[in-house]
Amino acid sequence: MTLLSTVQEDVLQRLGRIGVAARQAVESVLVGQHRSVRRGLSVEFAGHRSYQPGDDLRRLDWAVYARSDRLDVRLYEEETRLRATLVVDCSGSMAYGSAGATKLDYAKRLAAALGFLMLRQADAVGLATCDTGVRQHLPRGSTMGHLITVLDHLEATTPGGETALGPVLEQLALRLSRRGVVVLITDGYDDPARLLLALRFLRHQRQDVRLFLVADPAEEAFPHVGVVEFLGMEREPRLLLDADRVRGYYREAFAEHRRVIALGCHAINIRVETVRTDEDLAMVLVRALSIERGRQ
Amino acid sequence: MIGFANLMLLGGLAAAAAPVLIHIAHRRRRTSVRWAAMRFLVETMKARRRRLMVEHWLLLAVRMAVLACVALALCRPYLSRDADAGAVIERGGGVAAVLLIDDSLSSGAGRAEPAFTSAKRLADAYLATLRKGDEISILTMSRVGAPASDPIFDRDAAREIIAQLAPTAVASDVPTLLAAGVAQLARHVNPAGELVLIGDGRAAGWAGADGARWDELRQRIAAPAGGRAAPRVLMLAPEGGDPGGNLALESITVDRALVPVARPVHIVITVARHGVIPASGALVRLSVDGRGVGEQPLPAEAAARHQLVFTHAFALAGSHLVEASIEGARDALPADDRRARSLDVERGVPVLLIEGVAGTGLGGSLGLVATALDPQADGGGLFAVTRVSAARLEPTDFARQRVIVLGDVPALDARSVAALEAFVVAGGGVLVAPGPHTDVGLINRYWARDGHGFLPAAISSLIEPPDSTVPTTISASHPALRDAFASNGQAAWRGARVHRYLGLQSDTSRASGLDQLIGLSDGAPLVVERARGHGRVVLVTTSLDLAWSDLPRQAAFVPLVRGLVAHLGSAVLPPRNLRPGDRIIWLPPSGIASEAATLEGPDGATIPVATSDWEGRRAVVSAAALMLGGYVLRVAGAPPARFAFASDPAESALDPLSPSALGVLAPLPIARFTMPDTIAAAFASDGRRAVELWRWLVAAAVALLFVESLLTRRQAGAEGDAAPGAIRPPP
Repeated sequence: MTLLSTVQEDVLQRLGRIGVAARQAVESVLVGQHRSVRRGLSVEFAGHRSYQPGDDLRRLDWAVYARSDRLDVRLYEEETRLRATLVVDCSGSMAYGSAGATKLDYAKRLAAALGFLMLRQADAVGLATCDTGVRQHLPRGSTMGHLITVLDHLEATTPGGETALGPVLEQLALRLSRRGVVVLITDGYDDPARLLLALRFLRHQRQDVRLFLVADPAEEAFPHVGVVEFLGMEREPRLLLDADRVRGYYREAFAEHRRVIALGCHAINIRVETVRTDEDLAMVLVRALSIERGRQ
Repeated sequence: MIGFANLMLLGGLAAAAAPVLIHIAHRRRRTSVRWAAMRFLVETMKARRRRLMVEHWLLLAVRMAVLACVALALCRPYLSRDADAGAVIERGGGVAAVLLIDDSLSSGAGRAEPAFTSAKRLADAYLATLRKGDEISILTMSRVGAPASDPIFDRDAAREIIAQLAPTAVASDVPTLLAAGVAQLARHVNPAGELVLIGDGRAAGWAGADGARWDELRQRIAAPAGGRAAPRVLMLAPEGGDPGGNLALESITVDRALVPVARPVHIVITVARHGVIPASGALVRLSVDGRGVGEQPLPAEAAARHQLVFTHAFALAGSHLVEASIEGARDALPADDRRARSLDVERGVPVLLIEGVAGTGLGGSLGLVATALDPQADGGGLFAVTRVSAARLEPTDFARQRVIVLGDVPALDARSVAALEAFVVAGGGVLVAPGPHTDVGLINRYWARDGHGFLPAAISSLIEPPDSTVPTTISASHPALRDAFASNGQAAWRGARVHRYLGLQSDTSRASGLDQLIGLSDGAPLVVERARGHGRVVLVTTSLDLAWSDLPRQAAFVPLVRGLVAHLGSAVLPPRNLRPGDRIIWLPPSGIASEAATLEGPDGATIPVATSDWEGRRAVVSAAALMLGGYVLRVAGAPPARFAFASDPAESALDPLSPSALGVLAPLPIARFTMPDTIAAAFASDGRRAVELWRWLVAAAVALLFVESLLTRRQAGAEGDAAPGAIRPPP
């Protein structure tokens, strides 16, 4: 089954089953995303669409209403063209999965779902896969054919190498000439200071950033007992430890890492979403994008 | 100095290694896991390696220390402080005192006061050295073997118990008393065991010659059961000194095995003289069933023993009580101036003659024996004889017999042989004499059975010496032969000739327990005896008729036959002459209701009895009796049965205990005290010079457990604080 069909069945159809409102909510957020990019600027009028709950009432075309009793909102060309880049971490640590699906599998599905949703909004979607550097970079495009290309590349991606998000994001920031949205899907197992510095640079380059931190439930809980030999997935040294004795300290370090990233992202207006691989992807999207809508 | 009360448990310290072993086993069972979030583990190890190591080793050490404290506490260590100046005996921790009181007969002897009174004062002085928390057990010689009771802590109660004690009539047996003390120690908990022998300072009862017994006892004292440390042995006894001379009635005997009714018998009273004591004015009185029958003055000469002979004829058959007493002698121990003996006076002792060749009168295989036993053939004399042919024998014929004589019997069926064996084991007597019809092979196979049968020895073959042999070797002092040979000796056999006799197999003739009573001039045995169970069997190797010898023509034949049969029929079971501490056992005749039996003691008091079992037979049994003298058991439908309790003659000696006698306990140290003052001075003035440490160890173990739980909870708390998802995004 291709990534597209998986996403369509697992995510998009379920979004439909969840309810028109949920899907519309997701889509309206994406619409709202457009507005956040070009808020306050005059742009070319691009047409009308039906009013949907949540739309800004200032965008209602009262003249249309007076003429036809229809509630329509005005669309501008820039609103319809959100330029998003999906950055997927494909380093070795993303190959971990305690219950079948790996973090990378989940990240691919998340990226695919977001890409599909954006395309339906006539947005442009691009893809960058990375580990210590950018492996592949597909520029943004807004056609279905382009999305399929993106999904095919995603599907073909395999995990490997080490994590170095800082240099990757810096490289990307220089490549992205026009303003847009960067959606980073990673486990975040990098130096927080370097990561935050790179994210700050992205923001400076007028990119709106959304960060999805993906973790496996076992990585959060550390369920090991007894004496365990830990073998790293990115050429780290082996460690022989009494899991019961280090569990508390590990969880402390894990939580501190997340906290530092969250605080740092908040300071530069980057929304962080922590996601577990055992969560329903559809609900993750609803949760993440609904909150975004609430902020607006 | 640190000592341990339960040193054997010190091996439990090995349990302290358990946490280390568990840790090593744990490490061996490790698993390997591929892990993505290594950076957090690496961070943890970088930041907390030292702390993790310290916590790990600290936790391990705490857990080992808990187990070590518990193991050490079980060993009950104590810390001895320096001894007080002049103190002799150190006590480590709580005392477990077992007082072993010798209340035997000799403890009642003494010039000014009985030795037992002095011994009780010494016991009081010892009790004063004990403190609160010390355990006390009190065992007396008279109650050794009674069910044991738990130790007490109340010193006043112990003093009261000792104050109530009095000398009894039991014989002293120090090894048995010490062994009971070692066994009683097992009921105590306190670590410092003390066996305190409290006696009269006499040598009686020490059994110094029984080396094997003392060896075994020394080992038990040196290494008591249960890992307890060896107890200290103390002896509290007044100085033996010279108690003055003592006259004692040593024995009452009768000059024959069976006492006939209405015939005079000689009653021999033996009086022992210990030390220097004038006997002038002292006399010995004899009474039978409470009626005086005579008295004789004690000879004045200072011999160690005097024998006084009284002649008496018992008018009635049955159980009688003969009592002797010394009157008018002021000696150290009055309790041994009286002695009682139970006698059974017989009429018509049932004797069964089984003949190979049946006959009447003087005929048959045992006609001459029958006539010797019952000349009138009316059963009115001492013996009531029944003759039966071997061919017509029924095992039920053995019931109610006292003696069975087999004469020239070729063989017996298996039932009869088994019945004969049971008859002997139960106390009956059997006299076996061969004859022309004797089948050596058969009697060897079924009567001797390689030493397991009733025949005293296996037969080799019939011997016909070319010159007839003559009986020569005679054990004239044997109870069976006294009548026949006491006065005549060898002359009684003059003219006797034995033409044929059965030889005994050489190995069995020297078997242990086989006594030769009469031998032949060629060295072969003529009359042999062996005990079997409660009974005895006598084998005469020639016939008791004129077939193989002319013995029946000799003057000694009749007293010989009567003496052998009387000897064989003299066993009284259960015994009627007992020692203090024994129980009275009586077998009621069939048809008698034993529940109605009553027992009266020497003082006239009624003693409770109960129906019980004795060797598979219904019996009337009393509790252990301690009083000397005669006891009478009465039951409707049966003649009264009389029992006599007499003291052990060794208790009358009153020899003081010598240091060499105490040496039987060597190399075990034994502290002897003769005066109350020396006891108080011998123990430390503060009563205790050792501190028990087990309480502190238990407290330490509890504290360490608390520390361990704190350390473990700290770990769990760190896990809880850093629970997954604890990170909260900023609003």
